Amino acid sequence: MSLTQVNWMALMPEIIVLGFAIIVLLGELFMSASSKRSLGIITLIGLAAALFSLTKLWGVETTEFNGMFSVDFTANTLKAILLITTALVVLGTLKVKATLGEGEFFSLILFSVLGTMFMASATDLIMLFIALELTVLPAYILTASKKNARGAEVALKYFLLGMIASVILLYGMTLLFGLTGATNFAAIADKLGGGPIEPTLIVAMLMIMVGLGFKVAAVPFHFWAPDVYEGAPVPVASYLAVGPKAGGFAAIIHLFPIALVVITPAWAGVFAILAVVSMSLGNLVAFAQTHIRRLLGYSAIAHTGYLLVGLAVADNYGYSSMIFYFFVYSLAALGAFLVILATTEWGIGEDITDFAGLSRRAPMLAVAMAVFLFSLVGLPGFAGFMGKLFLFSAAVKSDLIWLAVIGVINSAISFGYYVTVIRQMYLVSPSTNEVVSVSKPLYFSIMLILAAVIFLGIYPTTFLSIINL
Amino acid sequence: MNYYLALIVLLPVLSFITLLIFGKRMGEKSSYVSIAAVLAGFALSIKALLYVMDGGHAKIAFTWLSIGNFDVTFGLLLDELTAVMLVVVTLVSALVQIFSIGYMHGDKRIGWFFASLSMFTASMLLLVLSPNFIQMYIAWEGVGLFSYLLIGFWFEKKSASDAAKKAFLVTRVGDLGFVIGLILLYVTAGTLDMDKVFAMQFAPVVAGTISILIFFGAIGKSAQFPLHVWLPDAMEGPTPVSALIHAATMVAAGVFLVARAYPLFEQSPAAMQFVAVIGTITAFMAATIALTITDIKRVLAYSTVSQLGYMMMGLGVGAYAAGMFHLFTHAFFKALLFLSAGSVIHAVHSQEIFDMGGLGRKMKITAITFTIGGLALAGFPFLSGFWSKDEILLGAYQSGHMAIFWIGLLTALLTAFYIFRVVFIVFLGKPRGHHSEHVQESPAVMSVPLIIFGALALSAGLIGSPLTGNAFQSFLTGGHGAEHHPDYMVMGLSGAVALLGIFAAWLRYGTRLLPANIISKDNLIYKLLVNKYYVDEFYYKYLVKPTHAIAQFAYTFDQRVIDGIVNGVAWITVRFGIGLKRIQTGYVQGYALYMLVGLIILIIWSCRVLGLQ
Repeated sequence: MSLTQVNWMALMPEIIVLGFAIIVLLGELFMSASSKRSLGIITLIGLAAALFSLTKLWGVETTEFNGMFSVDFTANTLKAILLITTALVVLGTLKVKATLGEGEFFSLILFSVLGTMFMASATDLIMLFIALELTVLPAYILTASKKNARGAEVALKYFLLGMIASVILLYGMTLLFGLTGATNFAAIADKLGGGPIEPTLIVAMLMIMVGLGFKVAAVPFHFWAPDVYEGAPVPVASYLAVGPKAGGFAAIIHLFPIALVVITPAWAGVFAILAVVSMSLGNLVAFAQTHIRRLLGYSAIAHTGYLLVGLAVADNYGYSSMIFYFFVYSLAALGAFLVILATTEWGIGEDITDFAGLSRRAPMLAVAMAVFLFSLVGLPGFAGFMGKLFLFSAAVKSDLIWLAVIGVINSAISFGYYVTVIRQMYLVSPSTNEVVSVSKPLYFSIMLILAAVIFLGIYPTTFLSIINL
Repeated sequence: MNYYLALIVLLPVLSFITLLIFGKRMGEKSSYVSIAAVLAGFALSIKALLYVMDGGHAKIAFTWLSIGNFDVTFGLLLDELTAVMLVVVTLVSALVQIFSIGYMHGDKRIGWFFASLSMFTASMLLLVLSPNFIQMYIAWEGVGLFSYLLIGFWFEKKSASDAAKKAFLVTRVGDLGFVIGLILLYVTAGTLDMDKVFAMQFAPVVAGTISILIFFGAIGKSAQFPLHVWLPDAMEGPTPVSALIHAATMVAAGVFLVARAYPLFEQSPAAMQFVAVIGTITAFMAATIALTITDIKRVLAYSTVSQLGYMMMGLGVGAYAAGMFHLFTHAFFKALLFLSAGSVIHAVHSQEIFDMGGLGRKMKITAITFTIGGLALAGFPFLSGFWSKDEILLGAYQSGHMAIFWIGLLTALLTAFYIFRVVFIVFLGKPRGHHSEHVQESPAVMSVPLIIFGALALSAGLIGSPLTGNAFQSFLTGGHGAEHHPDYMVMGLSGAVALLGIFAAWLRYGTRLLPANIISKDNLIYKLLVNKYYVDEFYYKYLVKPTHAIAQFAYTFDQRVIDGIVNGVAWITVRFGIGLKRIQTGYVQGYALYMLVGLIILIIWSCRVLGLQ
């Protein structure tokens, strides 16, 4: 197959992101210190252009590179969510003191985004593995970008655990290749069809699950998440909270239902277990946290649990609900991280008690934070409620009522720790009455997310029709 | 498409949001935002009315949310009934708000006052535009909420906050019936869309049950017997709020609900009878209570209850257009009476009629407008109230409800008497109390709305009178209501009782011909009336007290048992959290080990489940 046979248009978003990543990196090398400030804006333009070219692919279903790269509905939606959330992170960090050079920071983010996009489109084991590594390698560097002891420690842990997960994933892939002699998802499904189920296949499936479960921070492969969320610089943590996860979930939606369709009950059952363990452990441990980002880290683990409910359901309604919830969750979590970014930039600490009286020092930030937390709980009127409604109703439809019940109980429990933050912001007096001011782009980004969370909570129909729910 | 309809509702909502944010800073200027919004709404309502008069109807609907087969739609419906209500609500609201500039001058929370008025109006507009019962119910509750906030606007006064609570709670009782009715309707009809529901044919029993349950909502909101007790107390709110509540918004909602659901009521003669009887009892009872009240606003409050009874009576006896016509005329003359009373209160700083007297010479405009309002209310021939009351009585007469007809006529007599009792005491005679000696007319911003309402109270009835061929009624019924020949007997009777009532009041309060103690205060009937038939006392003894007792028990149970369980669960949860936190040791080798252990457990579990060894 020659290169001319490839429909390059299908890869346009990836090509644009790659191009901008290189431009931004070169900009860091050759531009003067003062003009480097524009690199953030260039990054934003790149993300916007990629998003625009992605809309041109809306509704297109095709595969390229001999079926290694798939353009389809799931991939497109998750890429769109990824690009939008990353753009919001970049917008929020435009005026924030960089820990690396601007060019390095933004180009690493773009490279990671590129990896995640390929991951979302991968329909081949080799492609998937390379894309996954491309996603995480920049993330390791970004985590350590503060160049202090805490950052280095966290980045090293993240790196070591990530490598272990990758090795297990690779081992699983090797076993799968050994069983079928194919690396393409569809071809694997063909080869597996009809034959008896070998124990090796189950082992391969579970090893792959460990690797991908690590990416989405499912219990018991979650250990990196609280440490990284806490120890990484805030802008990096904001990106890691949403970006790479989109790729992880896209890969899971592609790999398991396509390649491993013959053992659907097995992986659906395991996902149900992981869902229960993740949400329960995430929510319970979150209660014991005093550091706001650690709290959000455990909340993220709990939300991975909710999202896995969509995979346990294992039908299209479940996947669509999951994608919707992923979007809704990303917005709220990202919003919360950006509020933390705004407060830390002003020199406020990151313990929950440091948020005391925020409603008086920064009323809009406090309102936004409260709305994001309410959305994470799933209170009616906010986007999170709609997301949980669809997710749990998918579970009920597939006779997984017990799973929905556990999910609802967990949501109720989770209110307990989110509300401690809201209590601090609204009911406790601040130590000083100094007004917090926020850089304009960051404020704008937070307000955009706030508007989206409220809009999706009140009128989700537009977005639901996009994802065919 | 008629998207401007959405603007009618959205403009006051925008005004509410604006004032919520900037109200404190804008202070007295808040009124401009709110009045501009409602005036624009009035202009658009006129446009809507003209559109409907040209034979146009509109229905806008969009799906808000669809879950499975259950669609929640939002929309706007424009027909004759809606068009009339839109005009009345926006007009009354606009004039009341202009009046409020003067009346509320200097209040420290004036921004919030106008914000609430905006949202109160918006809720009512959304209610009349609703094409389905869910949306209507949401708006219905919005009206309830903002009436609560407005009645309790001076919440520092305990009586005001109590009255607000009472209004909210009493109307909730009716709302409960309304909700049950809607649930029943959804269960039987499978939809709450008005078009679809009204096209269906139900068994009389089903239609009757649902209608009566829905009517409970109207009993609460429109202050019908036995849930009328909140309305007189609601006088604790600022007077412009009372005017708005009584004329166009809150209490009209109940009458509108019955009118809107009329196709459903018509399917059950029993339900219609129920509406007519409740309406008649209310009309008569409230009129008798009004005879002994000495608080000027409370007299008007009971008069509103009584007139709402008339409207329900009209609807119940099948005179649909007459009932709505009375709502229309009543809106103007009652707003006029309230605002005039407000003007008096503003000047005298008292609500007791025996603190006033001789005000006619000092407040000429107010005296004239109040008298016009009184004449219209009394049903003085050829004023607006005369035409509409006559239509209702005629409806009762023609449909053969003779008892209702005679009680209605008697009530008309009482009405004329009690309102002119107030007129004579307040505006004639000598000043009583020190304030009424040096009073002045209110500023123009207050008297101009009075004059406009006065003109409307004089003339608004004409469009429904036989002189114009009952134009209003035939418009409302889409031409089916057909012009009918005036019945001079009924008309003569109702005119005569009005004159008789006024004359009697003059004899008693306007002259010194009769001795002051002609009515003994030891009389049983007098005692019954002064104590408003002991309804409040009955509720207090048999409902409020037992409820308190149950609540006290529940509170103790909650504190000891429920809270104990909740705190226990929370304690256990936090313990679990702290325990589980320990596995996050910070050592990488530990984490890797847990990952491997997790993998192995999953492998064992999967093989077991799949039956593999």
